[in-house]
Amino acid sequence: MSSGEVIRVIDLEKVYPRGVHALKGLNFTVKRGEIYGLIGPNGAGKTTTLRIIATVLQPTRGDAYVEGYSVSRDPDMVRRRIAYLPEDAGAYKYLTGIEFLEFIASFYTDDRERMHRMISEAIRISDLGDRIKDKIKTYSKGMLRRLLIAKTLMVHPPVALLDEPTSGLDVINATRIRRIIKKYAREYGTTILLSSHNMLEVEYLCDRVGIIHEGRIIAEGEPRKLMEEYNAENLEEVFAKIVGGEK
Amino acid sequence: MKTLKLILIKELRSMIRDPKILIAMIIVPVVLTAIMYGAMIGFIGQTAREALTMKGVAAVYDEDHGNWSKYIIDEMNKIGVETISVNSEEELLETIRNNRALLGGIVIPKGFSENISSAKPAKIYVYTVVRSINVLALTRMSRLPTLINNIGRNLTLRVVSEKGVSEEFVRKGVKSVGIAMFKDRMVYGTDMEALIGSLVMVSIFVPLIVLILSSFIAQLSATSIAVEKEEKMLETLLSLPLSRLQLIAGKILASVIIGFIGLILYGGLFAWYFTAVPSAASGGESGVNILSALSNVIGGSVLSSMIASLVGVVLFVLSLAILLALFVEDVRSAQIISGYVVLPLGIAIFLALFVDPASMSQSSRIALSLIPLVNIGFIVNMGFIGDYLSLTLIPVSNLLYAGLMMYIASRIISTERVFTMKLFRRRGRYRGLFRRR
Repeated sequence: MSSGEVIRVIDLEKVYPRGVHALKGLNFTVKRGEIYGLIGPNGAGKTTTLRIIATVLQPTRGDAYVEGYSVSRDPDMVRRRIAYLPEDAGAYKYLTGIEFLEFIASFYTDDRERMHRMISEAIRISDLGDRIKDKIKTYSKGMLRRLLIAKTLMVHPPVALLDEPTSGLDVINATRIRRIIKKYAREYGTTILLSSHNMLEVEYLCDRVGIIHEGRIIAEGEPRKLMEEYNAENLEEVFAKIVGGEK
Repeated sequence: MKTLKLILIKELRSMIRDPKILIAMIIVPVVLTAIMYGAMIGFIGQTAREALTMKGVAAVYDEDHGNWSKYIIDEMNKIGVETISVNSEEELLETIRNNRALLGGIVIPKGFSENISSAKPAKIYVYTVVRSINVLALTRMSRLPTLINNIGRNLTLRVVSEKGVSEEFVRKGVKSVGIAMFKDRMVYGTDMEALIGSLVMVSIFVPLIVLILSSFIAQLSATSIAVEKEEKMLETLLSLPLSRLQLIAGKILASVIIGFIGLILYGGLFAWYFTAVPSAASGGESGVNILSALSNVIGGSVLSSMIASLVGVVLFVLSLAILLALFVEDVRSAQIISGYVVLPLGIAIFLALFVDPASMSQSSRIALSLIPLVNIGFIVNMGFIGDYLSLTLIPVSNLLYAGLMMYIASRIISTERVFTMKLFRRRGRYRGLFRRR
């Protein structure tokens, strides 16, 4: 693993118990401070890849490394270096927003001062104001997603894994969250690996993208370069051309 | 221990704020206790009525040889109780101890008839051997004291109607004094009907409390895992730097703490119940201190072993519920699965009411005490018959099973099986429509 690489995925394969072959030898790397987007249609293998790197699932073959630690051999070391936001994540409805943030922060630090800083930052990121003291069951979908983005970023993880970060949100909330992610990655130099089937979103956010189709990366590079290479106006066109076999 | 503490605090906060839990902890026990109160009063009344039509044999030491002592014996014979005459109190004790078929024995003391003739209160001593404390044995045991009480009451009424009697006689009349013989000791001056009623309740309700509480906290712990899935937090939790064993232990501990608060509520209600039922059943005359009665029957050291057994069983039920709940997708499935865990416990308790371990060999009792869940039903009986080996094996085996279940659960939650394996896979409503022909 070279010094600039934070995530390295090597020949990753995943076969689910009922024989579904979700990943068929995935390879890519993500550099420190980079925002890397995995894009592709539903069922392409984006979520499976993120779940394996987040140590929730285990690879069938191959491996993935986070700061040099293997997800299959050193999952505890990997967990200390990542913060993961699943696609349809929720939160404890009977806790208040602030109690939920305290709960998550407590797994990363015992220092009251540091925890206080994390929570203050989360309140700023989520922009929930006084509603942070209300029970989570009273939050709208947009508020909940902002809270979850905040809990993921507040711990200053070396690597943030964001699965469809704006999925199911209206335009205003989605734009707000994209802005938060971009600003935070630049400010703190956090490496972000995100997945999305919204290719316009990825175009706006990512330094590099990997187009994933049927469990394999079929194209990789900077969004602008990919568009130039395939003579396309956006990433959706790039994807259509690659899958359709045109150039 | 950090994860344990964090999970515990989070679980307690969520549970206390959940209105469903308050309903389960306050309304359900009150309703259940009211139902049991009514049922038990009915049961004791029925036992008393059955005593008047019973058949059997009883030993009698008639020290009085008067007309009223003859009246007592004649009344017993009329009802169908055959009497065996003995010549001393020692002989009576030996006879009823060695003959399991006897209902018990009575001693009519010298001066009994003279007292009644001069309208003074008189006593009859009723001896009962407590051999086992399962429901059937206790019900049989209660018949002689109930019969003698009834005959004494009739005799009092007859004397009152035939003679001008003293106020003291009207108040006290002919009284039976119970003497219960437990293994190597005797408890004198006992209100036998009330004592036996209380023992019946102990043999039924101690395990029943465990059943109700286990069911409640098994449901709490099983749903506490399902809630993580339903609230979409499991994936996040599994990616956090936390100990999986402590995650499981934290959830179990939170359920145990809530269960303990429930136990205090149930305990308060049952404490009232144990004193109110014997008193109501004996016409409000007297109640029996159930704890001292229980202590007399099985001994204080056995009580502590019983408590350890109950803890072991509760932990086992909880960890089993957690283990199974790892594979369900939602709270409703978790509730169903916790029912499957508690059901065998209910069956065990029911069976134990009618099985007498006293008549089994030591090896059978040991085998019985090693069967998880089933063994809980025999704790009181093992204690009573003094089988300390089996009594020790019950908590030890249940604690070991609980530890094993927790370990397996933590191993499973460390793997992706918690994500990929489902016990209750929901079938789509329109599944058949898409089947290929």
